[in-house]
Formats: sequence, C-alpha cells, structure tokens
Amino acid sequence: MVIGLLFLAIIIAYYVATKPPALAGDPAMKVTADQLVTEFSDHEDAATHKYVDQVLQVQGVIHEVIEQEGTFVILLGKEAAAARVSCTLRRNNDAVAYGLTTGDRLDIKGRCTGFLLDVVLNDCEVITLE
Amino acid sequence: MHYQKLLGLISLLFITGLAVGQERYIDRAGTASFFSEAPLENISAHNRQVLSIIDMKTAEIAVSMLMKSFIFEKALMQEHFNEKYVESDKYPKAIFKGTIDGLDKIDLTQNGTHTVQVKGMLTIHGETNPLTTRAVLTVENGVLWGTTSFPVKLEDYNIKVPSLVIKNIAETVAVDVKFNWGVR
Repeated sequence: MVIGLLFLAIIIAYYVATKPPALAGDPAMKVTADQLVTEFSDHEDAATHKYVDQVLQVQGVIHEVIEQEGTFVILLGKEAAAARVSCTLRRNNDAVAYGLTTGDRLDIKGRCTGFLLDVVLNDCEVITLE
Repeated sequence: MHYQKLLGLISLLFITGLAVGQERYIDRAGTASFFSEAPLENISAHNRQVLSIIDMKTAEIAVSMLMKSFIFEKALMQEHFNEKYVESDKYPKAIFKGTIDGLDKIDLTQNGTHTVQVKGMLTIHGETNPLTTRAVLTVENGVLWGTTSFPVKLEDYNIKVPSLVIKNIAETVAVDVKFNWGVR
C-alpha cells in the first residue's frame, strides 16, 4: 500500500516537473488590436494590470508575417501606426501561418506578456480568418 | 520609472528615425536564447520578440525584451524562472544600451561579414552591469544581420539560486542573440 502510494507520488511528481508549458486556454477577454495598442500606449501600467498574463482574443489586420527558423511572428496593426500587436504562433499552427499574408483580417488568441514598442502575445493560435 | 524613460527614448528614436530616413533600423522580432548547463539537467529558453534599434550614424544600439516572453520546454521551469529567479512581475524587461565600435566602416550596399565590438550596459532583474562582447554583422543584399553570444553570471544580476537546486542551474548561463535589421 505504502509502496504503491509512493510510486504514485513519484509518477505525479515526474509528470508535474516535466510537462510542457500549458497552451493558452479560453480567452478571458476579446479586444481589437488597435484598442490594445491604444490602451498600452496611453496607460501602460493600467493596461499591464488588465491584460498581462491573460489569454486574449485579438482581432486585427496582418501588417507582416515573419518566419524565424520555423516559428512565426505575426504583426497586427495599421500601416501608419508605430505600435502593433506582435504574436508568436505556437508551433502546431505552422500550417495556418503559411497561408497568412499582409492585409488578412483575423482573430488570434494568445497570452499577453507585456509591452515593448508593440504589445506582445505568446503561444498564439489563429481562431478565425476572414 | 526607468523603463518608461527608456520606452520614451525608444519611441523617440523610432519616430525620429522615420523622419530622417534610413539611419535607424529596427527589428521588432529578434531572438534571444539562453542555455544553462548543470550536472543534473540542461535548460534552454527562447524569446522571439526582442526589440532592437540601431543607429547607423551614432553607432548606438538599444535592445529591450520581456522576461515573460521566454518560452521553456517545461512549464515548471518557466514558472520558476518568472516567479523565483528573475521576478518578472517586478522586473518585466531586460535592457541593453550601448555602442558598436566600427559600425561606421560598414557599407550597407556591399555584401560582407564584419566582426565588431559592442560595449554597453545590461540591465536584468533591476541590476545593471557593463557588458562588452564581440558581434558578427553580416550585410546580405541590403539586409543587416547581427549575432552575438555572451555569458551572464546570475550572481552579478542578484539572481539567487536556492542550494536545493544548485545542481540543476548553472552559475553562468550562455546567452545568444540574433537580429535582422533592414527588412522590418
């Protein structure tokens, strides 16, 4: 009995220690790329408190698709805007990424990690493409 | 407050860069990776959304990245990195500001590879230390690439590793960065 429990505990500990990072779950909030950029540009502290660590569903137009050694970074936003929304796609979204081009309007979900020149989202997945 | 000032500087660099033409180049999707080699395990993480701005005229370079954008192979490592080691809620960004020796000698219209020295100040976990590193700049059909590698000693940045996991995490991690200025 004791050995059985110990064995179970070891299996659970191993699973917890080695599991890959959780994929972004259901979006907590829905927001447009322009709105997200405006909020971070105008009030970074408030926007950080509101959005960072949250899974967001962001709607926007693709400014650029950047490929880096098999991983894709999608920039959403207007041509003239200085700040954009930068989304790193999770690896299994590669097939979708190859079909994306500048000007496509889409909904993308991912975890917000903060603001540099762009609002940054990680672990992104394309939800819908118009 | 410090971050806001830097962000203001970056915005200013970017806006004035647009105004004066192709003297300043920006890469919004550079990569930074680090590798920790320790007796019990090796740990690596990648950040693919590193911001960098290079000024060809003054040879200045500014780099900024979010600590929470480092992706690890294992969830627990990522959690410990953010919560226990770099405390990314308190210190969300790593920042480098410096200059590139020999940048003025590089002709962006000629393909070629150049080794340069980069000197500046690196801030991680709220601690700032001088950093000097050799970098390779490559001009390829009008695109400027930059790569460099340097060690980061955790102690220098006041990153404390508990004695319990001392065999899991290296005292000094190897950092690799790669930028692409000129296309985006």
